Amino acid sequence: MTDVSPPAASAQGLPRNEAEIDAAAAALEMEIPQACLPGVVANLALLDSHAELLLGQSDSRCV
Amino acid sequence: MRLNSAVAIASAVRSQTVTAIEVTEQCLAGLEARSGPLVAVTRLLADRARGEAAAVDAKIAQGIDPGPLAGVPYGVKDLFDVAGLPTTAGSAIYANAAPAAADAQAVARLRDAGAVLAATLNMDEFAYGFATINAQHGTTRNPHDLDRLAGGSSGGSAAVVGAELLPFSLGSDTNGSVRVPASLTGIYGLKPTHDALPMGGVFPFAASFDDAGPFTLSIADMACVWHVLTDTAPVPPESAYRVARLGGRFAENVDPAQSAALDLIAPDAPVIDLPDIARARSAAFLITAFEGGRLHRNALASYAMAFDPATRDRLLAGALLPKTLYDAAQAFRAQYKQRVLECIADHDVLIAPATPCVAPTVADPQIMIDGALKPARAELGIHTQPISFMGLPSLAVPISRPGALPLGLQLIGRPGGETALFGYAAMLEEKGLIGVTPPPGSLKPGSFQGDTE
Repeated sequence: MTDVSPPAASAQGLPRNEAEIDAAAAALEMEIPQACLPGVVANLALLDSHAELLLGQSDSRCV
Repeated sequence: MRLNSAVAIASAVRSQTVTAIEVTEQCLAGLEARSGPLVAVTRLLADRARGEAAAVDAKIAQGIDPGPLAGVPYGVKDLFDVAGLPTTAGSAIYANAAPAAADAQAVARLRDAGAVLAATLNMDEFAYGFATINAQHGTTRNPHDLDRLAGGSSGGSAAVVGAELLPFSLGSDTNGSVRVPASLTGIYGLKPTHDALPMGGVFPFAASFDDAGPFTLSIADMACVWHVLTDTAPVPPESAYRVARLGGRFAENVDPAQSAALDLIAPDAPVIDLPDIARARSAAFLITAFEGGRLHRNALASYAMAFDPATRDRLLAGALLPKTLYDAAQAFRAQYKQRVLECIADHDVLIAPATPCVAPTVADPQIMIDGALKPARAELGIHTQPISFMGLPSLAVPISRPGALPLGLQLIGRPGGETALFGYAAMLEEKGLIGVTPPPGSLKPGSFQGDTE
């Protein structure tokens, strides 16, 4: 059976979809205004890419 | 007199060639008549400036030396406390905040050295951006081309100095907010060793990286302002400095003019590839987002829609970052700084680009990074952010290239190594390799856009 549930939080633990964002905001006693959701999703995606880089492999030694 | 040299103005005032009041009146008239098109001044502090100038002249009349910045007008980014005024941090939310009870420490030190505060200056709201696109005050324009950005977040502070309306100003630099606008407007801008300059009375953004920093039109002025702010005496320059160029990520996303300037400045210098620069920048990005988001969490929870749309969604996203990620970024930072200090131990100055390109246009504020167009607001700091991450001092210097749009380089030092940066920059300035080129033509009179007292 195909899993059609929304994607879980990213591998780095960032909320990715509206439900996860609402849940994360509620845990901080915040509410994300509907008008801000697209921008928040986009910024979380950017932060997720930085988190992935941070937690990835070391790229070099000092030369 | 031209308002392009703090040292020259102070010398003229101290020798009674001109009075502080005369300099102040000239400065105020210039700001009122010509700063409008720059969208850089948020408040003109005419009464305060006249009062401080009169105090300088009174000291001189009594035979008292008013200090090394006697009668020199300057401005501050909108996040420094100015006694009697609300500290807005560029936000409409704080426009009617309670007035500051006292001047920020840096402002007090400048006042005690005879400087005259003339204006507060535009910024990205809460210093979150490299563009100075502000919903309340407008977008600050580049004095070299009014159709282009001045950079940010201390764009107002850079634009007025670049236009020679003030000889120096103060900004703040968390990830590049002094060095980016200095590069794009063709002036000098210093991010000091982290915590080297007094931060009392400065509205915070991300405490792990926040620093105050001056903008000037010469190295002599930068050194003068530095010694006032640090309450230290000038030291004689060395006869030679051990210089290296930064390679790797710092050699990508570079304007050809910067590469050519590097070849002229340091043709035989060794190239150092610092480890994990992209990871360092990402860690800085995450720490900044987390600290900024958490700082404004209560306000975001109560009235998010009152924030500038350009910063609101970034701050909201930062507030939602898991603390585990923040802790991982901070842990990386602690060990990373140690690794880098070992790498650079044999060098006094490291050279790198300050911005990846010249100022983008206001109409299309995007820049090319790794072959793709990215928002300038977030990406102009690609070369400055990793340096802030390590807390190293970095001086943005303008490449000498009359007739072309400004571009800067960073001279990066070891912690506490500012005077080596000034000494090396003075050598380059003397050789004509770096230096300020005044904007083409003078700014035409335009409607003053800020508030007056």
